[in-house]
Order: sequence, then C-alpha cells, then structure tokens
Amino acid sequence: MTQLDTAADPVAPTITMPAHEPPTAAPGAGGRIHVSRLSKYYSVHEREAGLRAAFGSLVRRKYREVRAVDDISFEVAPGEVVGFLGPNGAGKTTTLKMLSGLLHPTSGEVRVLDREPFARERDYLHRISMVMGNKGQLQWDIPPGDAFLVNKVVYGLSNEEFHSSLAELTELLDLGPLLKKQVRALSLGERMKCELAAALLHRPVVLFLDEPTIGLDVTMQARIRAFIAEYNRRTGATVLLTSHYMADVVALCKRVIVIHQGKLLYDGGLEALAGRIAPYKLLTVKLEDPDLISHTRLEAYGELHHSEEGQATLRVLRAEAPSVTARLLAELPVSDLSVEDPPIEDVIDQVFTGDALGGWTGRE
Amino acid sequence: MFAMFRVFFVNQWASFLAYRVVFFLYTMWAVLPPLIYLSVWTTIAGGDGVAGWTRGQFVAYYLIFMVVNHLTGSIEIHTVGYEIQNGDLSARLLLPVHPGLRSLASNVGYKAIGIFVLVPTVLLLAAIFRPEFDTTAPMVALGVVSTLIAALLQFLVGYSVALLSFWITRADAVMQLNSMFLLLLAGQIAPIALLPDGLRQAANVLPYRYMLSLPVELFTGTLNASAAAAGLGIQCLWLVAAWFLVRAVWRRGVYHYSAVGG
Repeated sequence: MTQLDTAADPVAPTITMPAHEPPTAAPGAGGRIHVSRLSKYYSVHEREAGLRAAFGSLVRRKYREVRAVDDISFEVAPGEVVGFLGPNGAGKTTTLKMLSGLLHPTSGEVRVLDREPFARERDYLHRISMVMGNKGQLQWDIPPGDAFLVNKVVYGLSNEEFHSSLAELTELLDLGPLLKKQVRALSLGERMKCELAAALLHRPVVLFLDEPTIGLDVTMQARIRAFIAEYNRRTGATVLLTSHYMADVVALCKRVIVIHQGKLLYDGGLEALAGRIAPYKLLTVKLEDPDLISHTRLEAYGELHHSEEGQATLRVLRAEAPSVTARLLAELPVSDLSVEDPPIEDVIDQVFTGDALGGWTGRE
Repeated sequence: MFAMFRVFFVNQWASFLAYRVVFFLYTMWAVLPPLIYLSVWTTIAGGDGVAGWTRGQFVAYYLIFMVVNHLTGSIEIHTVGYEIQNGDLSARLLLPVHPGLRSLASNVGYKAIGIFVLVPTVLLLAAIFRPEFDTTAPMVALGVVSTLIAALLQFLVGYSVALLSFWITRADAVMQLNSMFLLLLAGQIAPIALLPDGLRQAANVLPYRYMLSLPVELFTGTLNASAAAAGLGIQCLWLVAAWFLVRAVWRRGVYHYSAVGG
C-alpha cells in the first residue's frame, strides 16, 4: 500500500453535493454502511538512501505521520453500488480495509450492518466478503473446487445452499472447466473469477471489492463487471468497489466517492462529477477552407485539444464557452461548430492521474 | 469445529501431496540430526557402554527420538510467519473462523503424511543398528499422551514465535534460538540423563525437555513412576502457560497488524 503525505499539500476543500438519493433497496437487504469522521493515520519510518543514513537510522529514527484517510464521512444505503475513485495512495484501500474490519480506525466511527467491523464478530464476517485483486482465499497448489469446499464448511452452508450457490456462480462466471485445475495453472482472469466465486458462495450482504479487475484484459474486465452488476441485481447486496479502470466505475456505479490524499472530495452522481471536476467544454470547429486550420492561431481561443483534417477541438472553460464561440464565429470562416461536454472517460482519467484535483474546485 | 478442522486437514494434505520430493526432504530433517547423534553415541559406547547406557539403548533412544521429533516439530514459522509477512493473513482474517485452526490442521496434516516416509526409514535403521530397550505398556501409553502434549506445546510456542512476525521481519531468527535450546536441552545432542548436573537441572525446569525429550524418555522406559508423573505434571503446566502466551501474543499482534495495515 502506498500513502501520500498530506502535510505538504494545501488542504483541498470538500465539496458538498446536493443530497444524494439512494436507490430503493432490494427487499430484505440490510447492507447499510455508516461512516462518520473516519481517519486513519500511520506512522512511517523513513530514512535517506545510503549506508550512512542506514546506520544513522539505527540510532535515531525519523517518523512521519501519514494521513491515509483523513476525516471522511458518508452513508451507503442497502443495495447501492458505490465506486471509490482516486489516484494511487489516495486512501481507497485503507477505507475498504476499515470497513471490512482488517484495520481499526485512528478515529471516527464505522458501522456496517450495524456492527463495528473491527470487532470481527462471527456473524458479521458471515455476512460480508472482501475480494482483493492481489490477495485471495485460493490456495496455490490445489484446485479452486477444494477451496470452495473449505468455504462451504467455514460458512456452515448446507449441501443444498452450497450446490445451488455454486451452480449459479458456475453458470454466471463460466467456471465449469476451471474447478478441477490447480490454481497455479489458472490465468489471472480465471483466478479472479474463482476468487469472486469463493467470496460469494455464502451470499454476502455487503461486498467489498478492491481492484477486482486489476491486470485483466478488456474482455475479462467486462465479464467480471457484468457479473458484479448481476450479483447486485439478484441479491440486492451492497457493493463498494475501488478501481483503476474508469470503465468499471462507469458500468457499475451510479454514485462515486472521490478520495484524494485521504480526503473525501466528492460524493454524488457520476454525471454531476463531470461538471465539477471538468469545468470545461469541448468546442469542435470546422473551417470552410480545411488548410486554414493549420495556419490559424487557434490557441488564442482556447487550449488545443486535438486537430485533424480540417477540424480542431478546443478545450474552453465552461463559463467562457459562449463568448469564445461568439468570437470564433465572428473572426473565422467557420463552416461547422459544436459544443460538447468532455467524455466521462477523460474526466475520470483526470481523477486518477491526480492532475485535476489540486485546484479543480476553484474553477467553477 | 471438527468439520472445519477436517476440511482444512484434507486441504493441507492435498497441498502437501503436490510437493512429494520437497516433502520427503522435510521429513528427513526429523531423521538426519538424531541419526548423526546416534552414530556418535554408539561409537562412544562401543562394546562396554558409557555412563550405564549400552550401545543398543542409544540406538533405541535415537530411533524413537526421530519419530517423536517429527510428530512434535513446529512448522509454524514457515506457514504462519510467512502468511503474516506477505499479507496473506488478511484473507484468513476475513473468514469467520480463527486462523489458528487452519494452522493446527496444517500442522497435523504435515505430520500425518510424514509418517509414511518416517516409519519405513526407522524400521530400516532398526534392522541395521539393532535397538535394545526395556519398557512397560503403561510407560508406552504415557509416552503417547506425552507426545500429544509435546506436539501441542511446540505448536503453541512455534505459533507464538511466528506471530512475532507482526512486529519484526526476522522472526525466524528467534525460532533458530528456540531450535538451539531444543538441541541442547531437549535430549538431542545427548539424552538429558547424561547432561552435566547444572544443565540437567535447568532442563528439568525449562520447557524444552517437555517439548521433545519427555515422551522419548517415557517410551524407552528410562523413568521410574514418580519421575514420569512429575514430568507429565510439569509438561501440563507448560502447556497451560503456552496457551496463555499464544493468546496474549495473538491479541496484541492482530491489533498491531490492523493498526499498521497488512
């Protein structure tokens, strides 16, 4: 896990969004999550590179406080699918680990299913599951089918529950040919499918997914994504996921929580996020004489996004879009002009690279 | 609980079977060191014996030692310690069962499977070296009980040491220290009866004799009734102590783990 030091950075203000409307929960689902002023600080030992510093650190160690999660609050209603967005080290995994009970908070309150996760009570662990993209329940040397049997006993599933669950998962994830192979012989994507199956055999009410599609090819990502959506639809389980792939988030989550340097920056709908984080429009201009594009100083109107055969796309601040449009029409022989919102992919890409987060709130 | 133990056990068995050669070599670790001491002591004993022990008695002592050594040995520094270091423990902590149960099953599985290598080896060595010993059925029965307690004791101590991986990255160094004491004070280099007075008294108080040597002493019939009873009594006390130790270390360790992340 990587952490970022927030001490050196200006504190980014939190945006409060219009009250989020949770979708109506599937009947019987109780996967409510309550997080209030949650923080997790680590104390990290650090030293300069080199032998001299190595000896120095034997005598006197320098510690630095890292605020992995810094005073965040949110609520998740039963049956919701919420995506955590943020660059590496933003605090997404730390938050998920606190929710699943693997980490105890430095301060603040977490309640999942009306329990304190860190107490790791049996009945709590019976109702949740966490899938970590880089660590799993499967054992390297034995087939996944054997690991499923372990989970059957550990979760106390009856033969009937186990077989109906397994049959459903086998069908949805196409596990048939994989069950008898040694785990070490499975591809990354096949292994992730088996990990998901192992995590879902006991039909958890709350599901935490930490980078479930990491390292998978596009087809497999889509497959896993469709499966998660289907599981949520069928069982009404609450799903919280972190991902590096914007497609995961776009496909699965109506609601996103953006975390950056431990702070919650945004909590709300995916579409509204675009307006907040990318306060610009894309102006695509076509000129009457295509050759003119390369000779015109379009930078005078806005940031040149890209240009091709006789047309160019400019990035212009949302507020300035009308006046820039007027100027373009007045000053150039425009044959066609369109004004669009940036694609959500670009917006999320900006979240992940962290570029947009430092000052984005000020540009509304 | 038993169903869980069984499924972990079967799983572990399957996992070990995937490494037949490695497994054979591991089992040899229980055999080779005692075999070396056996050769040394039978040579010293020669025809006349030493300190009242005949050559055949040394052979019996060390052959039984091999079996008990395998049945009581701790593998937790390799299993649990490794899980903590690479973070796999996280996945275990998410299951609604104490991870220790899986470790215990894996310990028992390892030993059960090793028997298949060990028994033929010991029988072969017995045919070559011709052991002699004089024991009684009650002593053998006590030996079985004592072996079970010793195995549990080593498991708990090994587990506690492995849990040090929560704080330090080289818990295996602490385990080495433990092995050194087992070598010296648990009847490996020499039967405890043959140790110098001071060391022998220390061995009778410290836990190491009860982790390995006591069952061998019982099986070979070298203890009288009162010494056997006293030995088993102290062994039980150490078992209780180890139980409290492992609980305390576990609780603090998991708290620490979840404080720093894993």
